[in-house]
Amino acid sequence: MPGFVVAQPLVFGLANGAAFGLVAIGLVLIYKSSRVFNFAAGEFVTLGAFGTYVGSSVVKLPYPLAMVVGVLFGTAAGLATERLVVRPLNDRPKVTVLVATAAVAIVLIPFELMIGKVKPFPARPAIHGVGVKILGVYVSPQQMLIMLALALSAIGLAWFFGRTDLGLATLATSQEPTASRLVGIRLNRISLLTWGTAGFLGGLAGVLLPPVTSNFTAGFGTTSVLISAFTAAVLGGMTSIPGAFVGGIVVGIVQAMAQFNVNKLPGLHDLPGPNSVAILVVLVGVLLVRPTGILGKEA
Amino acid sequence: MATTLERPVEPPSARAGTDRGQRPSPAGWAARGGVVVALALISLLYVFSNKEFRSDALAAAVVLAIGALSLNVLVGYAGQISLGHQAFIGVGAFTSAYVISQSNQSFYVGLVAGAIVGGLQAVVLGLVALRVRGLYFALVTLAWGFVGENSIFRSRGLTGGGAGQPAPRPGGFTTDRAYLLICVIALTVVLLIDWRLVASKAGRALQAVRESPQVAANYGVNVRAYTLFAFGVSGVYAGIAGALFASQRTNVVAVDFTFALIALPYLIVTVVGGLRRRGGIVLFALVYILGQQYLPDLAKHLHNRFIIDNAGFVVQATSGVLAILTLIFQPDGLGTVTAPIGRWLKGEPFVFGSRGGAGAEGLSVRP
Amino acid sequence: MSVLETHDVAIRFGGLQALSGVTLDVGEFEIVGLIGPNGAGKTTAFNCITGFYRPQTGRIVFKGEDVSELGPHVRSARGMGRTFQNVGLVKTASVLENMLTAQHSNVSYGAVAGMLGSPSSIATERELRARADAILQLLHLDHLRDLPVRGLSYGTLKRVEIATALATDPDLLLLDEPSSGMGPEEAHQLGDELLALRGEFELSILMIEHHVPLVLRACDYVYVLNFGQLLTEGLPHDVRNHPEVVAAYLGEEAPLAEAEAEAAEATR
Repeated sequence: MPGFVVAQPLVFGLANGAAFGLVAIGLVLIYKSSRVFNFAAGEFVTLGAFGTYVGSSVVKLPYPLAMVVGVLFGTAAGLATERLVVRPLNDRPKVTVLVATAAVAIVLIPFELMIGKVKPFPARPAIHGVGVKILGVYVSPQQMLIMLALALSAIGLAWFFGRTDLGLATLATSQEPTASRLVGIRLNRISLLTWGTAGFLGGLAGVLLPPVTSNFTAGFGTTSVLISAFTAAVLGGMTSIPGAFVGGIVVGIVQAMAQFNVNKLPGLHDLPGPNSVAILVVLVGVLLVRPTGILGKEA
Repeated sequence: MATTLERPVEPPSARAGTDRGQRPSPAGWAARGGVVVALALISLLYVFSNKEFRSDALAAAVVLAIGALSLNVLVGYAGQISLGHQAFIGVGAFTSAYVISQSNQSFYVGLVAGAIVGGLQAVVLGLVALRVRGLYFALVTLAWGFVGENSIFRSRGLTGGGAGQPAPRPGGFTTDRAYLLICVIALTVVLLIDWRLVASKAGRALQAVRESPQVAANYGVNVRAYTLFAFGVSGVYAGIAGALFASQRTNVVAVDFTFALIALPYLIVTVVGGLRRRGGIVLFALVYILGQQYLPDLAKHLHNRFIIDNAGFVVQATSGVLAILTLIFQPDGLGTVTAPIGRWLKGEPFVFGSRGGAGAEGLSVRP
Repeated sequence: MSVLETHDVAIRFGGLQALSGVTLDVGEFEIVGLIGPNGAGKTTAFNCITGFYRPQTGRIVFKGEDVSELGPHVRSARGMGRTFQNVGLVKTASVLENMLTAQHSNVSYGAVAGMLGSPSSIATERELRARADAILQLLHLDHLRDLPVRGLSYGTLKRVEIATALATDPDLLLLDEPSSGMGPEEAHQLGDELLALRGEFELSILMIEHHVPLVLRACDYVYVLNFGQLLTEGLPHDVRNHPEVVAAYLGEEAPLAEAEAEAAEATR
C-alpha cells in the first residue's frame, strides 16, 4: 500500500494505548465488582495530569513528587466518587449510577476550566532524552515509561486478584454479593478499594500521557481518553483485566493508524477526526458482531 | 352491557385515590386564569423592560429547553440513553445553516430541513439501539457524539471548516427580541406536540416499551418500531433546537458542539428538571441560562472577580452537583414542584408531590 | 372451525427439549384447558403460540392463517389476548392507562396524528376511555380505574390483567394460571365468570390451570402436557381419571385428590 506509514503510528499507538489500557482496567474493575459503567473515569485522568501540573509548576515540587501528587489526585477523585455519589445510589438502576458518574465529570470539568481556561497546560516529560530508535522511529523515554507502567499495573493486578485474600474477596463480591456479605466480606470496603484503584490507575494515566504531546487541556480525559478506554474494555469483554490491557493497546494502535493513514485512502483525503470515526467503527462493530468482546469471556 | 358477573374484589375505600368529579368553582377557575395571565405579563414585562441582550439569553434558554426535551423523549419516555447529544443538536444546526447560506433558502426551510435531518440521524442511531442494549448503547452514543464533534462538523464542505457556516435570522426577526418570539413559538409547538405524544397512543406505547417490551408486545405494540419512533421524535426536537441555535448565534462553528458544552449540560437540565416533567425541564433550562446571566451581576455586588469571570462554569458545576443530589434524593427533579402546579392549573386540587406511585419512577433503561 | 391449531411444535433450549410434537386445537367458542405438572412446558407452549418464542419445527395456525413467522405484537393485533403467569401489566401506569395501552392495535389514528393532536385522535381517545370503562365495569374493577397498578394485590392484578387482555379485543384468550393468588371459592367463581365472558365477548379460551375444579367447571376439552409432550387429551372428566395423568401428577402434591374434595365442596 503506497504511502502508508506503519512504524510511527505503531509507537504512538502503543504508548497511547497503554494509557487507555490503564483506564480500561479501572473501568473493568468497577464493572466486575458492581456492574457500573463509570463515566467519571476520564476526569480521574485529567485530575492526574492536573495534579502533576500543580505540583511541578505551581508548588514547584521536584518532578517525581509532582507525579505522586498527580496519582494522589486521581485516587482521591476515585474514592470521593465512590463515597459521595456511587454508594448512596447503591440500590438504584445502573443507568442512574451511570448518569451520576457523568455528572461527576460535569462538576469537575468546569472547575478545571475556571482555573485553566481553555488554553492548554504544559506537561513536561518525566525523563528527558532523545529516546531509542526502533524500526526507524524514535521512541521517547516517556512512551517507554507508559508502557512499563501498564505492564507493571497489569501484572500487579493479576497477582492481586489471583493470589491475595482481598483480591479474591473482591472477585467474590462481583459474583455473589449476598453470599459475600454472609461470609463476612465488607462490601463497602471492597467498593471503596475498587474505586480507589480505578482512580489510581486513571491518575497514573493522567500523569504519564500528557507529556507525550507536551500539553493537555481541561476535560481532556473525558473528551479524548474515556471513549477509547471504554472501547478497550468492551474489546476485552468488560470483565477481563488482561482483555482490557490488550484492548487498550489495540485501540491505541487502531486510532493511531487511522490518524496517520486514513487520509491516504481514496475518497477520504480530507476526513477530519479519523480517530473518532475509527473508535465508533470498532465499538459498534464489536458490539454488533461479538458483544461478549473479542478477548474476554463474558460481557 | 348487562352481565351476570358479580363480585367486587376491593373494598370501596380504594376509591379514595381518585379525584374525579371534583371540579373547581368559578372562583377557582378565575384564580387559575389569573395566575396564567400574571405569569404572561411578568414575562412580557421582563422582556421589554430589559436590555436587548437579555432576550438573546432567553432565546438561548428556550433552545436549551427544546434540546433537553429532546433528550427527555429518549431517556424519559423510551428508556434509552444519549450521551452524544452534541451530534443531535449539531446536525440540526449545520443542516439549517447549510440550507440557508449554501442553498439560499429561507430560515423556515432551514428549520424544517434541520428537523428532518436531525430525525434521520437519530433513527439511524436507533437502528443500532435495537441491537445493542442498555449501558453498552450509552457508549455508542458517546462515540457518535465525538464523531459529530471531531469529524462531521469539521468537514469543510458541509460546515465551512473553522470559519463556520453563517445562519442569518429570518427577515423581520433579526433583533434579539423578535428572534426570541420565534423561539418561544417553537417551544410552544414542541410542548404541545409533547403533551399530545404522552396523552395519545404513542406515549402509552413507549411507556409500556420502556417498562417491559414483553408486556408492550402483548398489548400489540411493535417494540422495534416504537423505539425507532422515539429516536425519530427526539431527533426532530433536537433538529429544531439545533436550527434555532444556529440562527441565535447567526454563525455556527464546530467548537460550539462539544461533549462538555452540549451533551453534558443538556443531560443535566433533563435530569434536574425531572424526567417526564416538561414543566420542570423548561423551568430549569431558564434557571440554568439566567443563572449564567445574573450571577456576574450578583458577584459584582460582592466584588468577587472570580465569579464574575467564571459565571458559566460556576453554574455548570453547581448544576452538576444538583444533578447528583436529584438522582440521590428526588428522582422527579424540579418536576416535584412544577407537576402539582400544572395539575392545579388543569383544574385538579393542589396536592404537593408526585401523584400516586406513577411518579417517582426515576431513571431506568431497558436491560 | 378451529380458532387455533398448533402442528407438531417443538423447541429446544440448548440441551433441553422443552417441547416436542405438540399438536393441539382450540375450536370456536371453546374453552380448552392445558394442564400438566410444573415444568411440563405449558408456559413455553404459550410463548410459542403468542410469538415470544420461535419453535424450531412446527406451525401455529390462527383463524386459518399460518402465523408462525409473525411477531408477538402482530399476533396480538390479529386477536390473541394473553395473560402472564407473573402478571404482564405496566406497573408504573394506572389501571385505566393499561386498559388504554391494551387497545393499541384498535386505535384508528396513527402515532404521528396522535402527536399532532388531530381531531379524530382526540375523539378516538374518548371512545377508548369509554370502552375501557365498560370492560372495567363488567369485571367489577371500575373502582380501581385511577389507581396505579403497583400496589394492587396479586389476585386483583390477575383480574385486571384479564380486563386488559379483553381490551385488546381478542378472539382467543390465552390465560396463564388465571386462578393463582385466589382462594378456592374465588377460583370456582372465576369459572362462571369465564363462561359468561365467553358469551359476552364471543371468545375462545385456552388456559393453563392447576386448579382442577376450575378446569372441570369451565373447560370443554383438556390437553395434558408432561415433559414437553402431550400425554393425553380428552373431555375434562375422562382426563381426570386417566391413569397416566394420575401417574404424572404423583410426586406433585396430589392435586387431584384435593381437587375432588374441593369440587365436592363447591357444588354442594
